[in-house]
Amino acid sequence: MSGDVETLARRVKAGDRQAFAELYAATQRELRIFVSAHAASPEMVDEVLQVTYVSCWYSIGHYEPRGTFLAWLKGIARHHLLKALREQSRSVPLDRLICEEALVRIERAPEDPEPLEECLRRLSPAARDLLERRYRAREPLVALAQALGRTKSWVAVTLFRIRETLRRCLAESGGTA
Amino acid sequence: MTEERLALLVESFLEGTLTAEERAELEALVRSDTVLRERFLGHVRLHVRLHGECARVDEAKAVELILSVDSDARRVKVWRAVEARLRERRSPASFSAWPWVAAAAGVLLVALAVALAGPRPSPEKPPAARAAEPPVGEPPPEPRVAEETTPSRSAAGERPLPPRRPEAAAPAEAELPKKAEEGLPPKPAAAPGAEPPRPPEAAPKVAPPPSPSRPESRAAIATLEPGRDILEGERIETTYEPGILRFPDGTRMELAPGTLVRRVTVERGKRVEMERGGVAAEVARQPAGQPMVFVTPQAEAAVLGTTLRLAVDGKGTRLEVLEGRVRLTRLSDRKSVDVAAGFFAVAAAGSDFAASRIVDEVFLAPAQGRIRGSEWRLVRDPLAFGGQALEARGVKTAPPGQMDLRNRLADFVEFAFIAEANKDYHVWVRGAATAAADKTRHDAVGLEVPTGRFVRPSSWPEVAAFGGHEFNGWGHRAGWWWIGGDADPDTPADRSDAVPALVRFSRHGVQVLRLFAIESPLRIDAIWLSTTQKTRPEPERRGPGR
Repeated sequence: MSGDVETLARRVKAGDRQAFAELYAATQRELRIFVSAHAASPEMVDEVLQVTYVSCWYSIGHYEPRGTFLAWLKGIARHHLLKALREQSRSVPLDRLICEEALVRIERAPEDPEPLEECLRRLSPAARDLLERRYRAREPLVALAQALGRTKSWVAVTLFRIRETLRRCLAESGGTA
Repeated sequence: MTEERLALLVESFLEGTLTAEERAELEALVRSDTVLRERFLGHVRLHVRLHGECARVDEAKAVELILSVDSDARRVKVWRAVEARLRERRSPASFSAWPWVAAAAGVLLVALAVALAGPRPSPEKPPAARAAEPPVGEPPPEPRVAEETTPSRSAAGERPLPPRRPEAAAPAEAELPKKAEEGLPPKPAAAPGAEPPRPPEAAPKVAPPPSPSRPESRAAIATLEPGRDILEGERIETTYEPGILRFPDGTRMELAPGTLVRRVTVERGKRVEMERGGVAAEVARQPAGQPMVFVTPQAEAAVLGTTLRLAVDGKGTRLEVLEGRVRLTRLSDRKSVDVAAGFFAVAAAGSDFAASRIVDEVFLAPAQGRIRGSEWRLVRDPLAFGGQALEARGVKTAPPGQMDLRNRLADFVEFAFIAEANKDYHVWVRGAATAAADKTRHDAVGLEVPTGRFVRPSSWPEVAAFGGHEFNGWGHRAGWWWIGGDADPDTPADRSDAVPALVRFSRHGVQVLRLFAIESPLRIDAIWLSTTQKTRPEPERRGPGR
C-alpha cells in the first residue's frame, strides 16, 4: 500500500487529478486516526482533515519523496491541528483544558497513536456492539437507551466503563489514552 | 460523587448536552481533583479516537476537492470517472437546484440582523423571567426520542470494529450496571401558575389565526411583540414585517417576513411547528428532558439551549447553530445529525445530511494563491498586509471595447477556500496602482469564480462575456485601498462599486477563485468575501473583526 501511495502521490504531483481521489481514499483512514489521536473533538478532526487535503493539493508540487508521503501529509495535518488547538484553547474552561492538554501531548507524543484494535478485540460482544452503535452509527444516548430498554444513565455508565477498560488496556500496551 | 453521576456528567459533556449547572459541577470536579481530571481527559481522548476509528471513509470528499480545482472540460471526465468508482449512496445533488435556499438566505439576513441587534440571554444566568414560565399541568414526560437509522455496514470504505477473540474474556468493568436509575438528574418541578392572558392587541405585522377561534380560557404561553399574547396551539403568520416572539423563560424568536408557524405549544416542552419561512432563535436553557423542538415538514430540531437560525420551505430545512448544539432529525428516515456551534445542516431530498461549517467570511492573502503563468509574482511590499503582495506586470492596456482578456486563461492566481452554497458574499479586493505615471489606466484586475457566479453581471462587456467581474480604479487614490467593483469616479452610480460585487457558489465546500490582470502594473494584497461587509472597508481594515 505504501508503494501505491507513493505512486499516486507522484501522479498527483504530475497533475493527475484523478489520482488525487485515489490518494485520498488510500490515506484518509490512517490520517483520520492520526488526527483523532490528537484532536479535541470529532468536529475538529473533520475540520483538520478538510484543510489538510486542500493544503496537500496546493503544496504537492513541493513534495519530495525523501520520506513517505503519509509522513509528509501528517506533517501538514499536525500544523493545522496545532493551529486549531491554539485557536480553541481560548475557549470556555473545560474545552480550554482539553485543548491545552492536547497541545502539550502533541508536542511530546510520538507521531502515531498506540493501536486501539487489539484492545477493542478484547471487549465483550455486548460492549463492542454498544460502541458500534454509539460511534459508528452515532446514536444518541437517549435513542440508545430507548432501543435497549434501559435508562440514559445506564447507557452512560456502560460507555464510561467500556472506555475505562480501553484506557487501562492502552496504558498496559504503552499508550496514553 | 457516585460513579454513575460522574459517568453521566462526562457522557453528557461528550454528547454536548451538559446543562450550565452540570458544566459547573464537572468543572469544579476536574479543577479540584487531579486524578479525576486525568480520567476526564482520558475519556475525551478516547471519545475522539473512537469517533475517528469508526468513521466511514467518505470518498465523496475527494470528488468535492477535485471539482474545486479544475473547471475545464476535463473536470467532467474526472467527475464521471471518480463518481463511477464511488458507491451509489451519494447523490451529487447541487444546491443550485434549490431556489428556496436563496430565498431563505435573504430572509435569514433580515432575521440575523435583527437578532444581532437584540439582547442575548446568558446561558449561564437564565433570565429572571424564567421563573414565571406557565405551568405545564403535569409532570414532564420523557423526551421524544429520534430513532436513528444505522448506516449500512457494508458501505464501501466502512470498517467494522475488529472481531472479538473467542478466547478473550469480557472485562468485568464493561459489564452492565445494576442500578440503572442512579445518577439521573432530578426532574423539574412544575412551575407556578401564570397570569391570565391579556386581551389581544392589534398586531399589524402578524396575520391573526384564521381558525379556530381563540379560547380565552387558555393561558398565554408567549408574547408576540409589541404585546400580543400567544396561546397554546396558536398559529402565527408574518406578512411583510418580521415578528418577535418572547417566551417567559427568556427564549426569543425572530420570525422573518413570510413565515408561517402552524402551532406553538409548551405543554410538553416548547414545540414550534413551522410550515415555511425563517427563524432566528436564542433559546434559554430548557428543563432537563424537555428540549425545545422545532418541527418542519422535513426535519425536527431538538434544542436544549442555544442560538440558531432555521430556514424552511417546501423543499428543505436548513439549520444553523451559532451557540450550543442541536440535534436535527430528518423525518423521512429518522436519521439524526448533531449540529455544533458554527455548523449548519440541511434536511432535503437528495442532499447530504451532515453538519458543515458555517462560513460567513473568507479572507485571502497573497501567499494562499497559486500563481500560474508569468504575469503574476509574489513580491515583498512593506506597505502591504503581511509585507507581501501579488504584482501583475506585462499586461498591455487596451482602450474600452478592444480588451483582449485571453491572457486570463494562462496567467492567473488561483485561490482555494471553503465557502457555502447559495449565500451572497460581497467581494472586496485591496490593491494599489504602482505605475509611475497615468495610474488610472493601469489599475484594473478581474475575478472569475469557476465554482460559482457573480450575482450581478459585470458592466464591462468583455468581462461579462465569461461571467467574470472587474475591479478597477486604484489609480484614483494614493496608496492601498479596497475596491468592490468599478471604483472609477466617472462610472455611473448604478454600475459603480457603491454596491459591491456579489458572488454566490453553487455547492458547499471548497471553492475556487481566480484573479487575472486586465491592466498593469499594479499590486493586490487581499481579497475579502463577506456576507456582512456591504460598504467599502477602511483602507487598513484587515478583514473580519480586525
